[in-house]
Amino acid sequence: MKSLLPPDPPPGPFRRSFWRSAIRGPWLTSVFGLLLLVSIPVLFATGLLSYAAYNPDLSRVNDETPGKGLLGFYLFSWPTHPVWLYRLNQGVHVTLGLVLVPILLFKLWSVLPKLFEWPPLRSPAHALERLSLFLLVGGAVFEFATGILNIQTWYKFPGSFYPLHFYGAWVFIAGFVIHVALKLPAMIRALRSRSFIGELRTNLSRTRPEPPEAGYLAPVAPAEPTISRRGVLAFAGAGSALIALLSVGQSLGGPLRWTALLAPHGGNVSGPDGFQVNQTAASARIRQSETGGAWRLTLGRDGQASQPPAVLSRADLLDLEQHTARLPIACVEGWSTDDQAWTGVRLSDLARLAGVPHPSSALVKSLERGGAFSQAVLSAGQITDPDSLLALRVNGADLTPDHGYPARVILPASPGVHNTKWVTSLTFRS
Amino acid sequence: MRQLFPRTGLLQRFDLRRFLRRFDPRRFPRWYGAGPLHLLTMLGCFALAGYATAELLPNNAVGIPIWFVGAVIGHDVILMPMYTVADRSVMAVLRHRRPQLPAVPWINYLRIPVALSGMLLLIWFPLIFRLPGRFTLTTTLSLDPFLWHWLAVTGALFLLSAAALAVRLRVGRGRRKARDGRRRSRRGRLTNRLSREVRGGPSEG
Repeated sequence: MKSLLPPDPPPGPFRRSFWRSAIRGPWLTSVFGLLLLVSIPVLFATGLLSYAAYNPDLSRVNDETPGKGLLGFYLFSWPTHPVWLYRLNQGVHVTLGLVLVPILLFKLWSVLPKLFEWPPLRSPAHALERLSLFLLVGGAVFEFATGILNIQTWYKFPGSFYPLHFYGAWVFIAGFVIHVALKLPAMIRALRSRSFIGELRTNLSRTRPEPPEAGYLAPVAPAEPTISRRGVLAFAGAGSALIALLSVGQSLGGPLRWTALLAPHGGNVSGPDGFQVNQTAASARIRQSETGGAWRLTLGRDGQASQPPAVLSRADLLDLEQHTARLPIACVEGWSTDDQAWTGVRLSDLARLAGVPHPSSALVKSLERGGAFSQAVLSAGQITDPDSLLALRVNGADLTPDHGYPARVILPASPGVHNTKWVTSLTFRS
Repeated sequence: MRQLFPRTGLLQRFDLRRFLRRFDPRRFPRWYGAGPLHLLTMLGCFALAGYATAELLPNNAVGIPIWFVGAVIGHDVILMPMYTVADRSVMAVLRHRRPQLPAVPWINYLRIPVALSGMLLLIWFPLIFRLPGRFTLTTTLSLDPFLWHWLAVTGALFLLSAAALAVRLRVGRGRRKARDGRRRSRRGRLTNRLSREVRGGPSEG
């Protein structure tokens, strides 16, 4: 390799003198690196938890990535309490991801000279390091892009969101682990080389470049600085704060919802059914004839074909013991509703009615035809929780068609799509 | 046997026992460029990435590699050079047009609102440009407000920045005036004394 390339870098970005920013340097890179080092694991962990929340091990019906193999090693039965668990997890995952966009952009800006290192490949070890950077940068941009497009329901990425975002995350995290293992000592050294408080006290006129011997990123021929280091940190911080301010309201809800001016599910809707909808009856192609007086709920018992299933009308269901649970709806896209007062029949009561007093799981089917979430399998914990209902009413009024009339499942702490709407059958397995 | 594996020069020369006798682990870093722990970390992580890629790729064996490579090119070759060139051009053009620019770092009062507004656009362009076709049908929400929200936030950012610059200039001018004033009055006292000494009479300051 060395013999093929000239020992001196060609003119242009391959020379260190090309990069003239006075504030670029190992210290500034390390500050952004530290922020990402702390936040990326949180982002990764909340993402893995979100996948676990679907209980993919329970049934193929719940699993959007059936080929996960070893990558599903950590899965566990998702709990039903605290009821805001999924709401919190997903709010953190999506809002943190959005807030990290400026930090990621500044970090990538600060290390750009390394892309043009000379010679491009020094040794097999160096070649592998550079290949790992492809996983890191490609994976990061891929994960942020698929996530950000998905929450805006603009499905232009090449395939279904779940496998892309899930496997993409593992490719990205492999690059991330290599990068941390390689750079952690350099990051600690660089952070120790300057006082953080001291930098916060240094204005533009007193800003000096890091010495060239501090590392490859420090400029050898710096231009006059136009912004201080604390200015850059404030710049990135202002970007993150602005993005958070304009989007976190869709997850926090309450009086703050209106502040989510740039988030898909900001803004208030009023009335007893005045909370956000993930999918309307029209988009699920639910016909009015199917949900009127002719609608019946079929309560089945898995593996007992000889026994006729119980069939109930909506009036029959209203005659059963009614319970009220205050539960939110939290979407994988990060938005959520405040707690709503759902009224209906406990799933455990319906299991008894079906002749399965101790169910191990239940298959819920919707009137919706096709669609990845027209059915779901619930765990024993989800069925027996006293807050798990087949809801008929919400906030004192009948469900509207968009919220799942005539009946919908509502579960504590579960992903929104498992609160199946327009339920047509429940099949319990003992 | 001999016909199946003819004794080629290469095979003849390769002697496993001699290779093992001569293999020296201390020489490995010189050949590889780093220690064996480095290689183990690399192999472990690439194995993980490979395993995930094997599951990822069948989803779209053409589109996904294009997206990965496109992500790197889109950022490193398009987005970053674009904003760097824009930043430098603005500075060069404005300096050229108005040699007497304010002494404060005025470029930050321009680049920060532009960058923040641009970042919001980068994230939310599908909503802002009403690209998700089924959004209103599935969510009952309108796509119309997002463009106006973005424009309003952009306007507010520029107003805030202009106000901050105005305050900064006024404070700076105040300071300069005070400094110049002190200098003038010192100079004034000096000339007064000189003129008194020369003309021997009172003089106007």
